[in-house]
Amino acid sequence: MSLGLTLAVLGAAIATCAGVGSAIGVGIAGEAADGVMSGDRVSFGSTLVLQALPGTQGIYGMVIAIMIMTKVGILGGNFAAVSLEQGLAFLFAGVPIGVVGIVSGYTQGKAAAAGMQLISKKDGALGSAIIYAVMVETYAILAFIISFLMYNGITVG
Amino acid sequence: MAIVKMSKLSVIGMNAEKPALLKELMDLGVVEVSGSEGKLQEDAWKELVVKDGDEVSVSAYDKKLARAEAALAVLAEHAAEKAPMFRTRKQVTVVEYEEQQSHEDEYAKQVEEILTLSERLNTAFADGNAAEALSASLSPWLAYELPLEMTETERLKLSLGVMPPGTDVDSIAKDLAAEGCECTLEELGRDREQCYLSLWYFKEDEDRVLGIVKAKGYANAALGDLKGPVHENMARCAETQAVAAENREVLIAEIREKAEFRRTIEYYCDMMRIRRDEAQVRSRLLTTEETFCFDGWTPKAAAEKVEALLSRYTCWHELTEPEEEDDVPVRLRNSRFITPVEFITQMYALPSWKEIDPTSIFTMFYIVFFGIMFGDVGYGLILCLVSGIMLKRGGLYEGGAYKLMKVLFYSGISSIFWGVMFGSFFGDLIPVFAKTFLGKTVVINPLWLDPAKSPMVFLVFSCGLGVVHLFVGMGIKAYGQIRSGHFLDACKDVFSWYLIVLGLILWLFGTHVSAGAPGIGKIMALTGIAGALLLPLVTNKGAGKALGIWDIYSGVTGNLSDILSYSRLLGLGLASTSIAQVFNFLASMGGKSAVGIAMFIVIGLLGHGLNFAINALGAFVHSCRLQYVEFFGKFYEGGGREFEPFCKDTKYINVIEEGK
Repeated sequence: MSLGLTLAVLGAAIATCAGVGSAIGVGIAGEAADGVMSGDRVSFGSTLVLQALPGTQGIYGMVIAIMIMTKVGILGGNFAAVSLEQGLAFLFAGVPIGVVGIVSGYTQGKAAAAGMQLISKKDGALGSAIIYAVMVETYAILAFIISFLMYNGITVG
Repeated sequence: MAIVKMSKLSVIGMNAEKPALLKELMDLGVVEVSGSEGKLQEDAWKELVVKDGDEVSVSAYDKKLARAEAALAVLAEHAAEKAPMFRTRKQVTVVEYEEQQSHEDEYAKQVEEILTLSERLNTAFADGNAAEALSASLSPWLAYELPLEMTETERLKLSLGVMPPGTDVDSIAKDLAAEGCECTLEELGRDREQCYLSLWYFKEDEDRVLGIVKAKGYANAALGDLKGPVHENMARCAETQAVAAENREVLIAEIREKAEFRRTIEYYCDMMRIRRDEAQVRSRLLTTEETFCFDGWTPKAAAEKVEALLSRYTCWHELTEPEEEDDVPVRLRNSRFITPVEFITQMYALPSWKEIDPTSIFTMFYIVFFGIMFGDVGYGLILCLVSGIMLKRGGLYEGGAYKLMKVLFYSGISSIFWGVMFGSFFGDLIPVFAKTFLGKTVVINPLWLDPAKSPMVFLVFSCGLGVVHLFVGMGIKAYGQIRSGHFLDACKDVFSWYLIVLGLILWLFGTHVSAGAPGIGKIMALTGIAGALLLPLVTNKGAGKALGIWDIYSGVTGNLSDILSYSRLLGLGLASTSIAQVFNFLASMGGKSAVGIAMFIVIGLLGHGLNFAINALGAFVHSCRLQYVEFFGKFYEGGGREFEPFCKDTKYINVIEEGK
């Protein structure tokens, strides 16, 4: 296994780290959900939707990681010839979604948690609560696009 | 396609005709009766009129309504019917409704019947619980066989008591004997909390005996005034419990039998609600001894009907145009296709009455954006099927759920369209399946492009759509400004920016179109910038004249970020297809075997289910966001007050006129 290939794997690993943000974010939102569910004003479904929102960063990260692994042949078993430079490029391609995913997952979790408070106090506010939380996701989407464009521009073999 | 034009209505009528007039207005249901607090503040009015009101009837109807709702709650608890997924009001005709009115007393009796049953049921529960508690408190004393009411004989005192659980009974008995008190201290039982004892002693020894045992923590047991031995009491408790349980069963069965009352009680609820509202609206009226007056709003389209109605009564009425400072209520009116989308506008804010209703303008954009972001034939089909079935089978015809399902149905069709354009059916399900299990290579070519293969083209397309969307928004702003006579403002805020944005795009990227394009773009951009810089000199006053420079700065950064925001179309579009592809890939890893097929089905179902849920929510919300932040940001103010006509505001039934 070449050093380039190893670096590409590291890139995939960094991309997957977006899941750290999602894990923290979903956790924060879940705690808030437990809190507001102790009253009987909110439905389980509406809190679940809010709790699920910070989960997307992890999925974006996983998609980039799997695409990198497929391209270099880690998934499938036929290792491609990856030069050092290409490997580094894959590594960098994993950084945007990895780093932004961590922060935006965490902060989206906080926004979602605050949204739980909102829906527990005001009827019919679920729409606004979702939209406030989803605003944060914009940056994860932008990072996903950039990671994807970088990944897409690298040719191997 | 717009906001309904309202007319201001003022009415002065005779008190004698008031109930009939109000009832007819309610049946018509197109007049909003305004509150009269403003007038009561003015001295001229204060001398003439007093506030009308019928609080007695309001509270009487409220009470009946509350009892009926309580009866419904009882029915819901004990005779639950399979609840429909979405509640819709039952449609009834006016004739049916009038016919039901005559059964009012009968329905009121049904309410009372159910509430009586419910009270008896509560009593049965209470009896059972009390017996259970008594039985539990008696069980430690079961070994004591004398009747409980027997507390003394001629010479003896018989007492029952408790001591701490660690007590050594024998040693206390010895202590008592050592003191020369002849008595019997018997342990009846012991548990983790207490030790249960019976203590018999001679009356003359009472002080000494009690002195000794109380020092060791003895306390008289409080069993109340029960008769007979413990076991008999416990048997009675068991009997009471059994009777109570049986009663409960019987009563619940009786309530269940009355399940068909639900429909009629719902009728009754709404009848009471309508009458309550009829009485309540009077608090908005002003009255003298003989006359009453009120102001209100009615849609212009309905003005004729209202006038026809009012002219049948002895009353003065007048319809006028709203004035600038009036708080005119807002009602949206759109074609049948657009109407469901109104809830997206309402979720943000109703337009103020001076604005135009943006719903019909952004509907197409909303649907297209949703389709691009969801962009998959398979997912689109599921969305259409689910929402279609909900609409058909659920019998939805009004309310939030109906609107949502309609919008999802449109969005599903759009997703199918864009799925064909992008060549995506559950991602690349068909090629992967064919390759894994049939060993064939199937290629599904997209009709237009594969976002994953040519993302740059798609990015430009997304931002281009964004420019169109934003320009439409700015156009609405210009329309509003020109309508109110500020043509130069429109030039400054909108038209010069059309030139700047288009010009800059041509200037920077025009070489891809034709060699001359950058030159034209340069001229357009510079003209636009000049316009944006110079026009404030004419339109603004004082220091505002220099604001042009700031406008350029904030306009360029604002427009740039707005346009780039549409790259989310690419992002979410890519996300939905690439996540689907990843799941297809994971599902096919089992290879061509029985296990492989099972794995394919399980992972495929789970993965696509998850992806569907995430991306449907994402597409819905981000499509909303593009309207709210980018599009509305260009022109929309909002802040309208909803038109709330005095009408039959019911919960369970919907009274419709025949032929409608």
